[in-house]
Amino acid sequence: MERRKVLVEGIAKKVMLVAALCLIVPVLAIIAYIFYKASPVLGLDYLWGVPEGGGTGGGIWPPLIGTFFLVLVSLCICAPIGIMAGIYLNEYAPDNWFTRIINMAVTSLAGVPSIVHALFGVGAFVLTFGMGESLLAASCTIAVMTIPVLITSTREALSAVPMAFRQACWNMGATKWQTIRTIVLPNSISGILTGVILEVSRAAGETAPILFTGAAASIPFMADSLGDKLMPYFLGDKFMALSYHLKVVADKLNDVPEAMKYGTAAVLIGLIFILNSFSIVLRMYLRSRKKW
Amino acid sequence: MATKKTSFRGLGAKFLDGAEPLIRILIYASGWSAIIFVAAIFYFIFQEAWPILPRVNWGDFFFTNDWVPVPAEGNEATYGAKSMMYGTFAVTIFSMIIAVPLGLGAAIYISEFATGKVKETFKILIELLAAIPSIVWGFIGLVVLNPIIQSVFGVPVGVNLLNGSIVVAFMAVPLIVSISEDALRAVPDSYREAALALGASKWEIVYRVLFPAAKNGLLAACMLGVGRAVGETMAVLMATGNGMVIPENFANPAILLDKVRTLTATIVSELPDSVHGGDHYRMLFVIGIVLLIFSVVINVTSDIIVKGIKGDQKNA
Amino acid sequence: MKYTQILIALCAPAMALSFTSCGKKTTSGSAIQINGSDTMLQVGIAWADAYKAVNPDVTITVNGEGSGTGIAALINGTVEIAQSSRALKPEEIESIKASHGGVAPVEHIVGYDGIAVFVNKDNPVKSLSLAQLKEIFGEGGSIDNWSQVGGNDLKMVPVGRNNASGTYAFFRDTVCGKGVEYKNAVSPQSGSTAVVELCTTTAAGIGYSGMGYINPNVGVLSVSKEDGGPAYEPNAKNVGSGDYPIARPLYIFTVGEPSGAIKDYLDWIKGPGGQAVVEAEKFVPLPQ
Repeated sequence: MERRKVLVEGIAKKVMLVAALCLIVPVLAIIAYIFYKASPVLGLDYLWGVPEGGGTGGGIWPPLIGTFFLVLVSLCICAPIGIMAGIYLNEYAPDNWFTRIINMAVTSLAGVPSIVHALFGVGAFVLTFGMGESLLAASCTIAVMTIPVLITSTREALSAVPMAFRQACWNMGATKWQTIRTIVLPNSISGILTGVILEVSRAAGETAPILFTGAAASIPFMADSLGDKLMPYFLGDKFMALSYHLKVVADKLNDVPEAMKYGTAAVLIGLIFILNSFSIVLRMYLRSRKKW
Repeated sequence: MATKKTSFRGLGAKFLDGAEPLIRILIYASGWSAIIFVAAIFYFIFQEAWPILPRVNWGDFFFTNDWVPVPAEGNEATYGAKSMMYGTFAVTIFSMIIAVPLGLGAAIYISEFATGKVKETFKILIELLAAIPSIVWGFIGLVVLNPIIQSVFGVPVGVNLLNGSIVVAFMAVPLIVSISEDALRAVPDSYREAALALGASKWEIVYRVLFPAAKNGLLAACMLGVGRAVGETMAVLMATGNGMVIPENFANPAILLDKVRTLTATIVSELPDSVHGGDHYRMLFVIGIVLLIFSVVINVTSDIIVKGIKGDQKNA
Repeated sequence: MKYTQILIALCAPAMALSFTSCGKKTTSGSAIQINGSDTMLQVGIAWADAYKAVNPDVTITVNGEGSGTGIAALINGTVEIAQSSRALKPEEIESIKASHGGVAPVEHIVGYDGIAVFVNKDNPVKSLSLAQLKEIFGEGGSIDNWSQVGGNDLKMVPVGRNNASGTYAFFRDTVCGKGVEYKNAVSPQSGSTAVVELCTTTAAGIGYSGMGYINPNVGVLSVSKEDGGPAYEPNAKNVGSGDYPIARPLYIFTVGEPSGAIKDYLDWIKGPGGQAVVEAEKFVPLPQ
């Protein structure tokens, strides 16, 4: 009897391990393969260069900086709202049906398909608010889409701060806002930043929502002008983005050398992984110095 | 120097304290923003679809197979979305067949069997897996899996239901893993200890104690996986082959090698070509409404399954 | 307060952006926004690239998800030029007039495009007639195996563009004729490149796309007007002479007669410089 138990235990453990490995190993292999195929082009020239023929040659700086701008603007829109919404839900919201509805709205918002967000972006920002297809419209669409990420992680970060901290502060006569500002936020800033980084990585990878709201397949670049290279897009302009650039070179243009396709994919994956590693490291650091 | 800095800080603090009423308004407004955004999404999508809603033949839409938005001269445009519903359904089912066992298995391994460094490593890798963008998965399906499927199955085209399902499974799995893991972790340790005291092995604990205790959470994880699979766009666009065919015999495993087309892929590939404000354009927004309602229902239901109807926030 | 500083650091670039914002890039000359046909994306990018050498002060943004998007953008006034592989529909002309104070759109033909029929390079079938193509692609058609047209015993894998693309409608109207839709088996691909890619890798594949997408790795069929008649390859000469039966104009639409930088650009496209690009991109230039 006992032996059978041990046997079953061993098998079960192996099966679970295999399941976990099945998720990880093929994906790591594929990613390694993508980087291997991209290796002929990967380099500073490629990162800093300007596409030729829309992506059949040259580099990928314009889409890279475009993604950076998209992320920055969307972050500027959704960081204040998302963080304050997280504060509201954790600190202010009463425990009633209305808060329950807000929570459901947050989960629903997180689950709305990206293409529906794209349709929303077209209907609301591009057409109704008259932004046209622009960096601003695309950033707004991405911001609405990624707000739940920030709300959830802010709320989690705040709820990790022990209630006793707040009570101590209230007992000294501080108001609710003073408590949040001086005790709760400083103790949860790393957690909030983790959320911010996750939002950034999500925003950088999205394609469908920017497809109809402002991404452009090609914008000519003055390859020699540093100013143009660092500040190529304004809020009313269309922009190039890494994710859409990958679709264009993989699926739209003819005669694109293989290495260029894999190169774009590799840079996008690399960017996302670097961002996520930041958030992971930040979280580990936070855990290691937790004071309570 | 130091005093100066303090006084500046003091000034800032005074300002921030004085602004409390304003800040409270901002915080409340932001808190309610999620509701506003969801309402706005409904409003604007209905706004674009509105003019055609009374004229949509819902019977045809759900139960016929002819989606011909730009008909040949002399023909009427028809909007039968059955084959796309089938496509979305098939991709969802097959991706879940792959994703649910893998996801639950991985979650159990990570939460119950793995310890220390192994556990941390797996968690980090799963998190990175979750971060891979949709478009990259599409690229993997189109460029990497396509030739593999071609040579393994000896079929002419490797972008098909199987390819799409594999890709979507890998996209949905991290969500399933992390939510299942939360559900397993939420089971109080006293349950495990009690079972251990009775002489149960780890597997028996998982099977007899954790599964029943965490079943709502695990179910919700699978539902959210379904939601993710239904809403997935760019990856299925590139990996499923976009054929609008409904197989005659569902029992034949060869349907896995058929091309399918999902609701999401239809919107993203046809919206750019549709006449703006025309019937076709509006029908694509009608598909958007179907997807939107479906995703909200899935999310709200799974939310209720996990937290109960009243909602216990603190355990969320 | 550390976090306020971080918040300020987050917000500062936003402020900077919004101050410098909203204007199109007027500092370095004029900007032209182009959107439209997927088929014309590559030639559009090539024009814009080549025009940089002619007039570096003009920034030309090119996009190409589909003809409908370009025309919609023209209606909304977000682009100056729409590239299209199909003519305007009456309701689109009305919408443009309505949103631009009665100014009608102007059609410019900037080149021609033959729709090539792609097959695998190793396919022994080298030519088909329009009638055979109709049986392959049209609803109720009887050909679904390559052996029926003198090829190997392989079930055909017909592919096409998505239901709304200009190429989709044009090929159907030319090949299948009035009132006939495509077979359900013709599966739409996400773009022209995908069609060609599929025929490159698929032994039994057959698909249609602009002849700009012809490359050495894929097979291209000659097409004859009648069974047994002379079959013509899709190339510049045969399309220009009208011998190749599946050809159409490439359109550019503007709202009203163009002026200024846009007029210069269109004149250049129709002139020798732009037409050389058309030829280099494997489309058919305008007759000089």
